[in-house]
Amino acid sequence: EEVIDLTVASSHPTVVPWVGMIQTHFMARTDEILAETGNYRIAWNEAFGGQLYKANATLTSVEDGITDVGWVFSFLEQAKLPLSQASSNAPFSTSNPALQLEVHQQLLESNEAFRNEWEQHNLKVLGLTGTDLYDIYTKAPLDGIDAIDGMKLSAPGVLGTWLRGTGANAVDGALTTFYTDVQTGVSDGAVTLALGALPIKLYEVAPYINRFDAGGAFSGAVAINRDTWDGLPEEVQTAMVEAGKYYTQAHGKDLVERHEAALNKMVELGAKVVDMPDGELVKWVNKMPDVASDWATPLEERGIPARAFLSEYLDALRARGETPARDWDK
Amino acid sequence: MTPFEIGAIAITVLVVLILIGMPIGVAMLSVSLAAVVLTRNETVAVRMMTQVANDSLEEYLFAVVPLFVLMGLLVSVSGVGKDTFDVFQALLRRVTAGLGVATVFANAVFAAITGISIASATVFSRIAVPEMRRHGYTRRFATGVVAGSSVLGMLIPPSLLMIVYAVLAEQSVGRMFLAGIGPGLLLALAFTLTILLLAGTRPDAVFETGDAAEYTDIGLLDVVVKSIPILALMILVLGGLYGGFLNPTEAGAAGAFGALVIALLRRSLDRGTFWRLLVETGQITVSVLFLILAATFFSRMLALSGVPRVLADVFLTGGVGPYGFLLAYILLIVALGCLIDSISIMLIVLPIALPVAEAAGLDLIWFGVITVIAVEIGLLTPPFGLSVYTIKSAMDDPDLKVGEIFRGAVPFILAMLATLAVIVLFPATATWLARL
Amino acid sequence: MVIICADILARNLMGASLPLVSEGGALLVVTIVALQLAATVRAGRLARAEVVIVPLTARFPRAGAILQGVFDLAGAGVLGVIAWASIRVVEKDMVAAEFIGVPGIATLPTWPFRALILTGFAIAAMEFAARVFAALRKGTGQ
Ligand code: NA
Ligand code: NA
Repeated sequence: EEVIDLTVASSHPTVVPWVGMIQTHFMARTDEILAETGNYRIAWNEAFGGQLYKANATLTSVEDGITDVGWVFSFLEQAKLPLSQASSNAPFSTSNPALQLEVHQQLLESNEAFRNEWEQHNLKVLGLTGTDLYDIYTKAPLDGIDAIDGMKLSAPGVLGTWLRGTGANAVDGALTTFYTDVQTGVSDGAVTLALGALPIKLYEVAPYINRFDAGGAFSGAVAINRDTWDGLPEEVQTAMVEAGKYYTQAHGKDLVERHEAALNKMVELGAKVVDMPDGELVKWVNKMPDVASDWATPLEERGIPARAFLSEYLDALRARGETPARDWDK
Repeated sequence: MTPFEIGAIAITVLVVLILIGMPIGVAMLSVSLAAVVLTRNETVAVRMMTQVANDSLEEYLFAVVPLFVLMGLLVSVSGVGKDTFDVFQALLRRVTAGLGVATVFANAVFAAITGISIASATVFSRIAVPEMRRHGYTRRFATGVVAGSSVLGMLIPPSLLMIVYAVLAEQSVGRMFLAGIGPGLLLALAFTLTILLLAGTRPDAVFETGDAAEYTDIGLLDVVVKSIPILALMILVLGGLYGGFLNPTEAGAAGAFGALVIALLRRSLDRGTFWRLLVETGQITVSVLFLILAATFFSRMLALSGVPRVLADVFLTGGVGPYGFLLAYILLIVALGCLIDSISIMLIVLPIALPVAEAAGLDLIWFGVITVIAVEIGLLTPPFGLSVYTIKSAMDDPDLKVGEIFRGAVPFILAMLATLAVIVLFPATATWLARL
Repeated sequence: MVIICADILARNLMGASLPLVSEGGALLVVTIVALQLAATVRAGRLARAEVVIVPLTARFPRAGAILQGVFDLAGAGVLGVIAWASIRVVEKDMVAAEFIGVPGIATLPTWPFRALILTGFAIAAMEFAARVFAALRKGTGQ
């Protein structure tokens, strides 16, 4: 038996479901497969929760070999991973997080530009991660998307673009500031995920969960440093590829279940789910200016085939029977 | 060598280098670089250090450091401290050792508008010491009271130490500030009792001569007028922070701006002074943030080495237990406090101790308050006690020996230890308000 | 301070944040620290324990100067390495057209900040190097 030392790290703690699943699914499955022959064993040196790097350096840390294996948070790598931003800049194209991951897995194999944007950073992608679904959390119930006109909503980063055209003002912040921001009137509510809202107890200050089931987005990947990868025996590589696929599938399934569980838990704790009438999501998405084009145009100018990728992404969704809320590619 | 051995050797070498006087930030960077080269390789080590240098300070929250420092320096030239002292002097003139108690109270209130202890020490050594001397208090007592009560400046919010702790422990700055209020008031109370006890049992240590000097009489109207600026600043900073209008960085900006307005209105700020304060702010800020940068690399090196994990095992499964760990931790900090400044101590010790405290399941807000008080004891202990040196240089009195101030501060160190014991035994004193 | 105060007013009076304040502020913190580092080194304001080196230098000025020179050499070394390795960081930010902000709302390229950060560390390294020579002169008694 040969022992291989590998460092595995993340910017976020293991209580974040997909980070915890690196341990419980990716690492565990790799160990399991390797144990079948007993030729190799991996001695994992775990440095989860920002011990080695923070959220602003998830890509470079894997790239530079500061960690061997790590979760790369593509949301925060807009410039270096431009095509990975497609799903959040073509909002509400699918409300099925598992399918979202499946499609990105396929694109990674079929779209060279997408694969290159990851692999040029000296790494090999093993598993993919995504978000659950977005809803609008408010102090008073909404009767539709028109009702947010004039409101201040916590919606940092790209979520702010989702509020363009709605008349609502996007308030900057982070998950950790939402609670106080709403409590103290900095904002009137937040556009956020059930998985994010539950741990920060957002429902205590914004008890109305206006359920839009607004599409989840691709958020990143579990990746391994290329130099480390090239030095691994083939058997270990094969085991990791399989474990990575298992991780992606399990994570997709977990997102769907956990989203519902989180909503139920919040209701149990006093939140109220307000189901939006049919067509509100389409109405919302059509209020927006062409945000997909705003995203794609500057990339095209730099020679990055963003429009082609966008089409391929939406077509892949349609091929699986999804109906994007807006045809961003047309 | 195993990574653990490399980590352990690195800590030892670091301590030696710091003791013989290497700049602490440079020592942490050099030692960590060497340790990562040994555990991994040159490329990873260099890239890791470069990443730390480029990314670790990239947080909006860090802008809070210069803002609170500038605010502290501005209020110390603005005369607000003197007004506060005048108010308490008027209120407490009939109490035994009333000027000592007034100094403590004035410091507690002044603490609410400054985040650095040196500001408190500078201001009150120039205001309270001469006044106490005039009324027959001994020099040792007068300077000791000022030194002791200056520590309130970084316990009662806002506080630079709390900010640094909050950053390292990933706690909310607002909550850490709240956690300092109860212990701050408790410590002020302990100081007051200490003074009354001293005046009662050993009057010759407090009074040199009888108090024959006149008190300047200020009327009720003056009391109100003199209270306005400080109350306004308190409302602006703490009200803004807890009213939800401001995040910590913004509270710092608003506070610095408010202090600037007050200083300008009182014409206590000329162009030259303002420039001097800005330069001073810049240097304090860079010195603190450079330390944070270096400590970040140090803590990442430790994470690679696994030292904190092993330490946690030793303390938590080896029969020592969380309280044993806490005791060892406090003793270590107090010992370091004799030699190194407050922020450096936190930056050296916390990367090692925080993972252990976390593994022990300690409340990190409570742990932070304990850390801050233990670290602040170092402001008063020889041979290196920053508050004492600040008073010495602010007083500009060649007769005044540093040793005399250190001796005067001893009763206050004891009061701090007693307060620390109360907070360890009753965590609610620190956490109640913060967890509300 | 002025920008942050303006942002407070904008947010609380008009209900909208100024763009880029928090991200730009964060990047500016690193930049300013790097650029001010050399001045802080020059002023001798880096935190250190003085309990050994100050009395040592008082009694044995040469030995003290040499020890100080060794420390400054270490400072020049680490900061020089940081500056040199930061060239790659600047290049990568330029190639990727790295930016802060949200496309379609407001963005700012990061490479000018990165270049300034590199410059700051480089100057600080040179300041340390200059002190090494000064210490050597003192240490050898010339
Ligand atoms: Na304070
Ligand atoms: Na001390």
